[in-house]
Amino acid sequence: MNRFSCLALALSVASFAVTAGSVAAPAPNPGQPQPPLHLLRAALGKNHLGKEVRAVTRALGEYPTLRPNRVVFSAPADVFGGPAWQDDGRLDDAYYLTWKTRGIEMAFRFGELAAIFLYNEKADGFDRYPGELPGGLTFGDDPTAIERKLGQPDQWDELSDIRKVGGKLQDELWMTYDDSNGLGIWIILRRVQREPFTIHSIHLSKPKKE
Amino acid sequence: MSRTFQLHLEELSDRVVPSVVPAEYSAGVTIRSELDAEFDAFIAAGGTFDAMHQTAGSCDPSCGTGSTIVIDGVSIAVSATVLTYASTNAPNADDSDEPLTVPQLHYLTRYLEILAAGKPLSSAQLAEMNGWLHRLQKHGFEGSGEQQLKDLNAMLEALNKIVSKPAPLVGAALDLYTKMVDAIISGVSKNIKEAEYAKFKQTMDAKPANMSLKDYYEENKGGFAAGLVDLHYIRYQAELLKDKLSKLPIKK
Repeated sequence: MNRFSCLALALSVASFAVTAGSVAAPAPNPGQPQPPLHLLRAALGKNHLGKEVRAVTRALGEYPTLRPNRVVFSAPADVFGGPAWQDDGRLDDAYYLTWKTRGIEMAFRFGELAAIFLYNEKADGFDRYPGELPGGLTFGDDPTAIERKLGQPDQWDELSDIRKVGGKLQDELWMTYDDSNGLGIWIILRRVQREPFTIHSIHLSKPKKE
Repeated sequence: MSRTFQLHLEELSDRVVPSVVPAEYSAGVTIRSELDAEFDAFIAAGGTFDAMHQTAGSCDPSCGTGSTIVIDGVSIAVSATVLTYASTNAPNADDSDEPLTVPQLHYLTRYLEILAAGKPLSSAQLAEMNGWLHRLQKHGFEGSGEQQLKDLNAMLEALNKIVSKPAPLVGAALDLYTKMVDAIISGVSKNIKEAEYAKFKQTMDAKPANMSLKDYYEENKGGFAAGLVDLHYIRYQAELLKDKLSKLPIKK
């Protein structure tokens, strides 16, 4: 069977599913509506089928949207410090699993969880992630509060007028922590019309290696 | 057999889990994932799967479909990926028909640097990056001030850093970098006259081998219109980079 027939097979199964009618996703585990932070931390760098990642998806309790994208990570190995392809010749397949109503997105590379994105209300169409954030952060924190909780960031980038939203110019601020208690944390804040910065999203990854 | 597919075999359960197929699925996309072959091998070996669902792309950040298998009721495994890469979708439509601004040029480079550091961008950031590339190509960039030139040069430097390494590029990544260089050339070319550029190129092509491009440029730029010569130089460098990209070994 070639890959085209594989697709046809997949579609025939998909058609069956349509005929059979849509079935709601399983309900979240009672008492555990969001994956605790320690589960997110444990899942970083793990295989998408491994028990750590499955513990997170099980806690989320809904089917995610799959967004395939190979070029997210593809790059020469010696530039980016990691293989751009596997020894067996397999290319760098990257994809996202997105739960918009849960405020969370995961980026996978070679089937391994490379980053987790936690979103604030209405950020890129997401609902606010209601679970625990690292370092005691809350989505209401401003840059001063973030520094009080996590310390001085390893990198601070601010750019004015980066985009126009609803006719208003928007500024963006990045606060990057290479290793905050075993987590790489990249906080993106935005503001319009020079109002105070608010957190847009928090990106979690493995800590940066020196 | 790859590790991923080995896990497929080990962890596929025998329970039937119906799944949902988005209505917007459409055919005519390109199959590119090597996981397809793994799946073919699985079927050829007599393997069966219980349920699969397709997720259709909305061009955010890429168009395509993914095939997934449900395990344990909620976990999913990617078994095949179908995609075409798009560069037309930006999350913020406010300025979609306008030239790229100075901060956006700067950010485009920052995004590139993040990818170059092996870190992922979110799907929205990737969509925005592609939207900016599209705008740069279609509408150019605002003005021609020193800051824009600096930012375009920074983009070129980031791209040069990547392609100057000896490792072969993955085809899809090469497409992205080529698109960036094309966008720079298009953006710059909107503000310069072809005849003028042809003269500039002829001068630069005569550079002695033992002289750096930058030194040669500094020595000769006085012979060209002061307001445009920097743009000529950026386009010239971008064309050299494009030529370099076209000669790189590609791993398919």
